[in-house]
Amino acid sequence: MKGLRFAFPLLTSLLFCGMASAEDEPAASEDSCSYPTELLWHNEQDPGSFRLGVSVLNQDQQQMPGLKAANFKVFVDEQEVDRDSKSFRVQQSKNVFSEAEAAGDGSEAKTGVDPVHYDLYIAVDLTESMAETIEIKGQSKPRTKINFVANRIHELFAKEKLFDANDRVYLSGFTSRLEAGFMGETTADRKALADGLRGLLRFTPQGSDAALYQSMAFNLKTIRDGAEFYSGKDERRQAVLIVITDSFNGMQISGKRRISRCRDNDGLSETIRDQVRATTEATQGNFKLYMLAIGSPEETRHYLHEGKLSSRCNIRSTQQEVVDKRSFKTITSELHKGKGGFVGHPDPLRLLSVVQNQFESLRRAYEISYTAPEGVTRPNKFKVAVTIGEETCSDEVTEASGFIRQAKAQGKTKPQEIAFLLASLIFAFFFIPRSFANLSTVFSGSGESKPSPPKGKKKKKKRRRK
Amino acid sequence: MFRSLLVDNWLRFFFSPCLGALGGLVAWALYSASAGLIESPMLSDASQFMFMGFAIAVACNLLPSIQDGQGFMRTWLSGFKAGVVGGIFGLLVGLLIYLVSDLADMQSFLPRLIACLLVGTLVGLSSRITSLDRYTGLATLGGFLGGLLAILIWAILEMAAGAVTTAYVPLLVPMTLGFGIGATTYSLPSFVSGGNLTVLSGQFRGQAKKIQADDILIGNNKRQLQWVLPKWEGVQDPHARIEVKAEGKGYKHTIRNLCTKNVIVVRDGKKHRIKAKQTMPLQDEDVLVFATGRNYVKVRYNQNTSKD
Repeated sequence: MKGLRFAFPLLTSLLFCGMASAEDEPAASEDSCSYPTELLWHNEQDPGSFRLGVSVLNQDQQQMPGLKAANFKVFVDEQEVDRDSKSFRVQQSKNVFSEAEAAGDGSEAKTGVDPVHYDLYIAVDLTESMAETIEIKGQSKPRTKINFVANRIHELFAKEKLFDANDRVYLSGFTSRLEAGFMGETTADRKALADGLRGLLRFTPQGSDAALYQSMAFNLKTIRDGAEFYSGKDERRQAVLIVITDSFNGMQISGKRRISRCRDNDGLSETIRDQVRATTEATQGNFKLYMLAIGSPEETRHYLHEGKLSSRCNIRSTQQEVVDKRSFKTITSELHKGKGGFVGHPDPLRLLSVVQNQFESLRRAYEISYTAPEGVTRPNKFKVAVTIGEETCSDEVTEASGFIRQAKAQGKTKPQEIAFLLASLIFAFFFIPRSFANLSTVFSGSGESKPSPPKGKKKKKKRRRK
Repeated sequence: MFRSLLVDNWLRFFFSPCLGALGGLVAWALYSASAGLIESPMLSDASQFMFMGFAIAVACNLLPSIQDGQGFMRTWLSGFKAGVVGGIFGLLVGLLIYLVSDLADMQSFLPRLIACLLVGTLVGLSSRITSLDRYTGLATLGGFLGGLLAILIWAILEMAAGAVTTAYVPLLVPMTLGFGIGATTYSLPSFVSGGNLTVLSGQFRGQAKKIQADDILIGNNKRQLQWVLPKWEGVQDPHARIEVKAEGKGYKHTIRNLCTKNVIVVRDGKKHRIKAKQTMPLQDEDVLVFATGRNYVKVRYNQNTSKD
C-alpha cells in the first residue's frame, strides 16, 4: 500500500511544524518598560515548590546582571510570594534558556545570545616577572604566568562559547616599550589570534620596567580612532580593553623615560584616567576596561592605597611584593557599573574568569525558586515584577491546560528532537518484520515457494528439439 | 509498498499501536503549531483534545484499509472520516475537561484516568460510528481499553523515568493514548469477526481479512473492491465474492465465482471447481485457490462464530 509513502512526508512536515508546546499563553509584556521582562517558563519542582525562569533585558538587549531577590516580586494566582522566606532564591543561571528551549519555548529572543558584538583589545605584561613559574591549584603542572594567561585567552575564544565570529580581537604586549607586533590589526580571524598567542609564548620576557601606561594609551587611542564603530546605530558593538599585568607602571606615558618612585605614578594614573573618560565619551559609553593585576593587592610599609606616598616607595622593589591597586583604582574610578574595573589576585586564571563571568552574566537569565503562598494548591497564574531603580517591569503567564501541565524541562534535548527520534524509531520499526522474514528465508535457504511450471509444457519442448 | 511489510510475523501486531503513537505525535505537532494562534485557555485545552481525537482516529483507521489493499484515496478518506468524528468528540472532551478542571486536579491519577478513558472511548466510537453495527460497540470498548492502557503506560513511564517523562509530557501523553487506542480498537473487533481469510501463498502470505457483517468482493482493483489481491498472481477484477448471511447468532459464508476462470475450493484434500457465477457454501479450514495455472493465490478460510 502506498499510503505510508505519502504519509511520511505529510507526517514529517507536520512534525517540522512542531513548535512550542504552548500550554502557557504569555500575557503581553510591557513594551514601554526600560527593562523588558519576560517570564520564560515555570514548573513545579516538588509539591508546592516552584521555579520560574525570568529574562530581564538592559538597554543593550543583554540580560541585566546583578539583580537580587529584593528586585523581584512573584505573584501566584494573584497572591504575593513571601520574599523573606528561605525558599525564595534568585540566581542567574546558565540553564534558564536551555530549559526554555527544552520546554519548546525557543524563540530567537529567548536563546540567551548576547546581541552586542565586541572588539577586545588585550594588553599583556611581558616583563621578566611574567616568566616566573607558578603553581595553581587544580592545574596539572606549574607553568609561567604568561603561559597560563595565553592559554586562558585561547580558551575564551575557543568554540565560540563566549565570543563568537562577530567579535574581534587585538593582542599587544609591553616590556619597557610597547610590543605591538603580535597581530596586524583588530580582526575576527581566530587563526590570526592563535598566531598572535603563539608569538606571545615564544617571546622572551625582558626587563623590569613596564611601559604599562604607554600600552594603555596606545590601545585607548586606537579605540578612540575607531569610535564610529562603537557609536553606530546599525550595530551594537563595544570596545573592551583588558590589561593583564603583575607590574607597576615603570615608564613615562611616552615610553621614553623610566620612572622609579611609586608616587610618580599618581599623576600618570590621572592622565590615563582622563584618557579612559575621553574614550568612554567618544564611544558613547560603549567601552569597558578591565585592569587585571596578578599578585597581592595589599599595602606595604611604604606603599599605601590612600594618602601621600613615601619617597622611599620604589617601584622595582615594591612591584615584587604587591600590585598597584592604588593607581589601577584611580584609572577605573570613573567607569560606570558593569563597565569593568580593577581586580587583583595572585591566580591569573581567576582574574580572567572574573571577566568571563561578567560577559556570561550578560546572557544568563534569572531562576527564581519559591514556595507557593498558603492556600494556593493548584496555581495557574504566575506573575513576576522586577523593580530596578524606580521602574517596575512585569510579565505573567496563565497556564492553559489542566490536563497536560507545563513540562519541568530538565532535559537539554528539545521536544522536537525527541519527536523526530520517536517518529524515526517507529518508521524504522515498520521494516523489522519484513526484514526478519527475508532473513529467515535467506538462512533457511528456501525462497517463497513458486508454483512449478506445468509438466506438460516441458515435454512439448523436448518433443520440438527432437 | 507498506502492505508488503505486513508479513506473517507476530511483530506486525504492533503496527496498529505504532501508527496510533505516530498519530499522537502528529496531534502534538498540530497542537504546537496552532498554540501560538490560540489565545483563549478554553480553546487551547479544547484544541489539544481535538487534535488528539483527530490525529489518533486517522492513524488508527489506516491499517485495516492498508491491509485490505485499498487505494491511497480510499485509505485516507476512511481515515479522515473517522478523524473528523474523532476530532469533534475530542473537542467536546476538551471543553468538558476545561470546565471540570477547576473542580479536580488533573494531575491526580483519577481525573487523568477518566480523561484518557473518555478520549479513548470516543475515538474508538468514531472509527465505527458510520457503520453502527455490532462492531461499533466493540470498537468503543476497544477505545475504552485503549485509554486504560494509555494511562497504565503513562504511569509506568512516570515510575521508570519520572524526570524525562515529565519533561516531554506534552508529546508522550498523546503518544501513549494513540498507542493504547491503536492496540485495542483495531484488534478487538477482529477477535469476534464471523470468519477470516488468511493468505497462504505469494507476496502477501500471512495477511488476513476479517469477515464481518458485509459481503467481501475479492479482486485486483484497489479502487473499488474490499479485498485486493495482486493482479500478477492471477487474480481478476472482480474475482470472487464472499457472501455473508446472518443465521442465528452467527454468520454463514458462501463463495461466488465472478470471473471467467475457475475458483477451486480444497476441502479434505479434494478439489471442488466452482465455475463462473456458481456458488459454494464454505466450511471451516477450506482452502480457496484463486486463479489456476502458473500464478495463483491460496487462501485459507476459517469460520469463527458459527460452525453449524
